[in-house]
Amino acid sequence: MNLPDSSTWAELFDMYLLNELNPQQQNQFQFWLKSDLQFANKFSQHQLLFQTIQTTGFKLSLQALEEANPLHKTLENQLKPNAKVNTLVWLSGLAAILVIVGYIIFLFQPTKDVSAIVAQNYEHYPNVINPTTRGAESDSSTLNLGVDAYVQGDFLNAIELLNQASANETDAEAARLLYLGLAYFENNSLDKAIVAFQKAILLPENDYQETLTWYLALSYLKNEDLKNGIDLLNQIIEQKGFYAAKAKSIKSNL
Amino acid sequence: MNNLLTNPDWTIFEEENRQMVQSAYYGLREPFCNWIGNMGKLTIEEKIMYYHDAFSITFENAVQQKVNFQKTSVKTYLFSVGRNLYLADLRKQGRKLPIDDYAENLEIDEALIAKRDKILHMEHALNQMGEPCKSIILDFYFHKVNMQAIAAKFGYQHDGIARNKKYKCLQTLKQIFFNQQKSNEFTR
Repeated sequence: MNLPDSSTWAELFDMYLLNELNPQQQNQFQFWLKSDLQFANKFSQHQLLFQTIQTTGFKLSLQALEEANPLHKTLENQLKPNAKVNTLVWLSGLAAILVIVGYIIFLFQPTKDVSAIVAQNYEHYPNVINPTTRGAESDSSTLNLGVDAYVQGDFLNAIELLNQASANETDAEAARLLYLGLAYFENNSLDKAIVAFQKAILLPENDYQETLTWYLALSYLKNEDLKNGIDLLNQIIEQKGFYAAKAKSIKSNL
Repeated sequence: MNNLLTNPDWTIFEEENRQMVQSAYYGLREPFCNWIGNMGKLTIEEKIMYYHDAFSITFENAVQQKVNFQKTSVKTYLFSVGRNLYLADLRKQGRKLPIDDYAENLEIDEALIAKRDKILHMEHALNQMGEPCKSIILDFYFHKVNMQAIAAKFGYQHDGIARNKKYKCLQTLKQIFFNQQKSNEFTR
């Protein structure tokens, strides 16, 4: 059978991609694909267009889902469980708080010793590596020794061991970087602590995200990078997790 | 979700599929946005933008069977696509962050970035064509509406007219889309 006129190819391509050709027609189509370079090139272009339209259509449907139930509304609802709070009462309360806070600031003019605030809120992190994580690693002994050194307060040794250790699984690697960051933090090597925490945060879906974000925020603050530190505190408060109350407390002291 | 994404013949208009997409979309949205927010200061709109891009690319790679969800979860894959897109943007903007020394050594999957560009070009091309071409193309290729129904929807007397219109729209779309792709290759 001869190749049809090129003006009908687009429709033929659609029929093939939509599985509308019978088996005999499909065989014929595949023969043309193999035997005619121009036909094959045009098909490959059409297929790219076809797939991209489908993916773009999918993305547009995601945008419609977002419009139907926007994330910012969900977050607002989480932050305001009682939507019927009287706005006037709320504003009056806020004004009163501002006046009181302003008065206290005026009276005491506190100096912001960020390092002291961080020290008050920093807690030595316990050994939370579970036996499964330990057992799963081929060089778990180095990782465990490093964590043990950190827990015992031997931070230089911990840094050395944790830099030597390697981990294949996401959670084990996140744990290694968490304790490495903590050891650097305690050793006052804040730039290195920040890099270690950031590396760990980049590992998707690890169990330590919340903890890592918290210690990263503390590292920024102790490093006098208030902007990044406060940004992270805001995120922690927004996410309403384990460290949210502490983050609020630090923020109020800054 | 895995079954949905690995079935190339799916259509979002089937109720079951629509519900699965909805449930995955809303279920993964907040964890994704929280996580990507941990990497840098982003507005909610920017987080959502990354979420949509990552979700669409995950969908396409699943349909094209470029990812095996027996080996990795949809969530893990989605997050790693998001990380690639975010790091690529950081590099493009030349932003200086504490992570830069490390991030520079992270290999970015350029195929994912090219895919995002391709989807953006298609979005622009569809918008540039305007109506009724945009709806005809999406109805036929995405929603899998047949030509008779398209003819009825747009008031064409018979499906031959609708078919002809679709053909012309597709030629215009092809021209705009491939021109954008070409100019993007030059600017890279």
